[in-house]
Amino acid sequence: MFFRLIDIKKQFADKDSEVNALDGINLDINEKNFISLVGPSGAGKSTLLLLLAGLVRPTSGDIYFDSMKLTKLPDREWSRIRRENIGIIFQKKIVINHLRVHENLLAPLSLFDYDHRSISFHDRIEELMEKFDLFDLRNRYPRELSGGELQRLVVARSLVTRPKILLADEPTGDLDLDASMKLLEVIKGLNKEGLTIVMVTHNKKLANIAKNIYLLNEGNIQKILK
Amino acid sequence: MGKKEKLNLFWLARKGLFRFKLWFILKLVIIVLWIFFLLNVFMAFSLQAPVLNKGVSQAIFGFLFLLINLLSLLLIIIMTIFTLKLRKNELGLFRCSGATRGDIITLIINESMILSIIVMIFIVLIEFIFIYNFRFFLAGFLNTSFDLPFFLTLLKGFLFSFFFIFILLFLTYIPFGFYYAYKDPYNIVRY
Repeated sequence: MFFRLIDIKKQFADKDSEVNALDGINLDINEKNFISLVGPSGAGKSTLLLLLAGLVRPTSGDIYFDSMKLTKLPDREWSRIRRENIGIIFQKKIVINHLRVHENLLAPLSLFDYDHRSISFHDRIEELMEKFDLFDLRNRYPRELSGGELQRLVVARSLVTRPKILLADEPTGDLDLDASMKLLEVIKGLNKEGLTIVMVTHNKKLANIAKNIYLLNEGNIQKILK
Repeated sequence: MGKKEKLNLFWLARKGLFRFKLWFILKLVIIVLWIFFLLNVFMAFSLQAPVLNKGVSQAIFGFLFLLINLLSLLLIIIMTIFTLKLRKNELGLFRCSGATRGDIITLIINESMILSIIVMIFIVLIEFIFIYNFRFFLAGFLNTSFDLPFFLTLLKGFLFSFFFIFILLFLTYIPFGFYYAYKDPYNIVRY
């Protein structure tokens, strides 16, 4: 078992009341699985993804990662686990605009305090640039890239630290259907290579690419569709 | 990235400081304001009576000095907030990539250190080239000779500048480092 969520509840304080974003979720995520989370807006999909990334804490319940209980870990440890194991693709195509393509790929590695004597990170960057057709664009700034190229950079960036799990929040965002399908094929390919993937999407057609589909509603898993 | 460059938070801070054109221009304006502010303070402390008593009364000068410096400080703070707002996606993304709160604060401190060094170089240059010559001009004008206490005054001015640069850069930068370190990073990059 890779991730195990036990009776997870998450409440957010609204103006006068409290909103139950997640209401007692139990979920197991196995290694090399590909899960799609679907459901209406406000169902708790993104909150669940944030919990997996350690970017928000549950109000109650426990989260285990590789048999390690994460719930009570301090932020520093959560950050380390995120840095070493988790890649995130956001709905918005966010990169660092003042860094060139290859520097954007290098940026997450700066957290590992590599130095120039270690050549492994250069190999990794080159490998990713080859894989995502970014090699010829390596010295360009993000503003000089097309939507598709930028999306490839975003995906490559999320993989640079060799994560064990990829969390994708509406990764197809504002892409057209053709570009969306291409991106999903890339994500599917990554899963075939052994990467565990959890993807949030509104689109049930796109969700179908996953091995398992969970339908979330009102903060809980209502149905397993696949 | 050059082969001899080290890949760490300092590398990222340096790229952030010099590459982002709008941000860099704003930083330059902030630096000019810093120099303006510090030179005002420096001149008030080290070149007192001969300059101040020439035609301008002490009270008016004191009021103008206070007003101008308060305005420049206010501008510095507003522009620093604005420049850091421009970086919110970067800092949020960085935190989502696994940066600890400490990493975010370190990144901000690194940038303020680089900026401090730039400001110091400017100040040393300006103090030596303009004020030093100005002092000689004044010395000739007042028919007095150059003396050692002037160097001590100059040194006092440098130390004073250093103190102000670090304290004020920290006052304007560090709270925002903490703000972005403790704010929910996902919401920063999402909205």
